[in-house]
Amino acid sequence: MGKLNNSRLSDHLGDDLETGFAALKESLPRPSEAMQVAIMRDAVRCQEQKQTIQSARKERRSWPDLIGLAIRNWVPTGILAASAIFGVGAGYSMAEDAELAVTQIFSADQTYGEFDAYSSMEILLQDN
Amino acid sequence: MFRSAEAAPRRSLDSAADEILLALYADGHLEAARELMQRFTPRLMRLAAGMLGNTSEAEEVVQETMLRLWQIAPDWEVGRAKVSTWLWRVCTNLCNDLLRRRRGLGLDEIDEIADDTTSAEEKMVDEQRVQALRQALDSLPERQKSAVLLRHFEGLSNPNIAEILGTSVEAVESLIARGIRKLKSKLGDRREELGWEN
Repeated sequence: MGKLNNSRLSDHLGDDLETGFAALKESLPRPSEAMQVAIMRDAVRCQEQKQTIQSARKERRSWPDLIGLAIRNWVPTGILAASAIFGVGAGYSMAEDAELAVTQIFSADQTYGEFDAYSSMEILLQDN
Repeated sequence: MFRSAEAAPRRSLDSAADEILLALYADGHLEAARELMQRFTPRLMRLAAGMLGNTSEAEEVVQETMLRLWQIAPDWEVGRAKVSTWLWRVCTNLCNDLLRRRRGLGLDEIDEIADDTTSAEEKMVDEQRVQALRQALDSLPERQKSAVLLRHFEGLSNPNIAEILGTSVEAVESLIARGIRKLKSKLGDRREELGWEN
């Protein structure tokens, strides 16, 4: 068979292929009713599983998740509480120190005051 | 419980985009699942039956493909991929897996469709030619067969086929060209028998 004939055959088969594909496409089975029912059953089952998983997640949260949640929440709470206690303690200590300091100053003032008063009296006596 | 058809009126579902329907299904609307099924299963069935040449296997593949869609629905990211492309890809992969397994078992000659499609046979222009084409298709390597069927059965574009098969557009063009050449060669050998000589 010559080149021309081969080419003609290819063109011819090209057209026939197209009609062949169309015929084959028509001949192929359509989805059966049973398969469609099965697909919808799968769809329902997947929905139910999804809901079960969601409920299970919520239930699971009641124990380990809650403990985890408590730990997660207690760490910053603890730090805050410790800071507060330390802060109050430090504040109290500072207040005590301050009181002590004031007392000491007062005593010193008194001493100085007495000394000052004595000096003043001495000066007065000397003047007189 | 699941929301009924009233919540998502049927008329609006007909024109809804595939992604919207999938989101609706993920949200509990079973009617959206029904619409997706009606939209895609005839085409998936055609592709699977075309690739496998066996009705019951094709039905299994289509059911599995749809099941995977239902399973992925809650995690579907809109814009990531088209639902149709995703479905073609899953269906093609499942068919190729089955063909590989079948080849491993030496069951290449399975051809059941002609036996259980009596009503479809009546519609055929030329039963013999259709069978010849089927046999020629079955002789193609998996990827060539997938590409040829996606192009000639589903009328998908080459870029779309490339996305489905996970390859380049050039590779798809080459797969289709080689596939068609092989089909022509196979059918050309039987031209007299098939009455294609005149």
